[in-house]
Amino acid sequence: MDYVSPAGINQIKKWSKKSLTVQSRSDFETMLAILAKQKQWGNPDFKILSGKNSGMGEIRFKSAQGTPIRVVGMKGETGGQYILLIGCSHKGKVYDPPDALDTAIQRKKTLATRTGSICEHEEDDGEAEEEQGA
Amino acid sequence: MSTKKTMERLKKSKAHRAAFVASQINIGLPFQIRSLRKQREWDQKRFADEAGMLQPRISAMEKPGHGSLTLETLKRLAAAFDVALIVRFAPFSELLRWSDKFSPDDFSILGFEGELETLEAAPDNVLVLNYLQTVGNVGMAEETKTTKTDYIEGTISGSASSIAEATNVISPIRQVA
Repeated sequence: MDYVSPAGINQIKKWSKKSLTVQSRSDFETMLAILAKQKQWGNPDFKILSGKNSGMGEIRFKSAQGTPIRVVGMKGETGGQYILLIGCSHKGKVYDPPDALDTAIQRKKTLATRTGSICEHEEDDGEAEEEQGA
Repeated sequence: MSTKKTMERLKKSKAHRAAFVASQINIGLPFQIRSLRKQREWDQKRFADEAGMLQPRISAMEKPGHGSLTLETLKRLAAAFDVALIVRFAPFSELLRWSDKFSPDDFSILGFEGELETLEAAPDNVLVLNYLQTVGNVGMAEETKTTKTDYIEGTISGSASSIAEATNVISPIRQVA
């Protein structure tokens, strides 16, 4: 499931379209398709976050350009459902955007208060942009 | 992720189709490698020894998008697992079917020794069915022979050329066995 902001914008679709190349978007969709069929998620594809980020986890893979990609999310209310809250890149210990985890927490809160919402995961519907950012 | 959604993506452009093919390698192969290693109950160190590689390299190859998997590397991995490796060009329909069906939890391939008994014992029509399933002509085999007895007693529906083709491929296997 994708996070949808109170303004009604699918933030995962927006991130995917804006920040990923055609190849990385395809890799992302392939990751999701494989994980969706896997009963248990764990290292190295998925990491449970701790501390102030507990209750969330991140899907991990490397983009075609070699940039580590993280998609932070949380379990949904129904079994087997997973909500993608934010997508970002990651280098060393730094997330890009740097406040990605704080944003994820914020989005999680909007879901709790029902101001934010979720929808079925959507692939971007853009045309073939050959190259964009990582 | 439905096949329909994937189809929509593939219809967008040649670049999208090329990306889909690459993703099955960049992302899908690490899952396959990990599944086969776990099926054999090997840790990464044991697998590294079997493949004549270093453990950190194995670790990298098992991470989606991390490893640069050359054909030479894949041949070494196949040899370590004692499984076959098929590299060939194929229609998108076949790759779509494969990606749609692939699940790391269910992906397991016996090493040669493990399947030797089956290879030797099975009549040709079982091998033909297995072959048809492998190459993606599942429609024919899916009419569905679920038990070994059914396989043996069942008849294969499908074009004569497909079956002839499959039998030709299988013949050398039987000669080796």
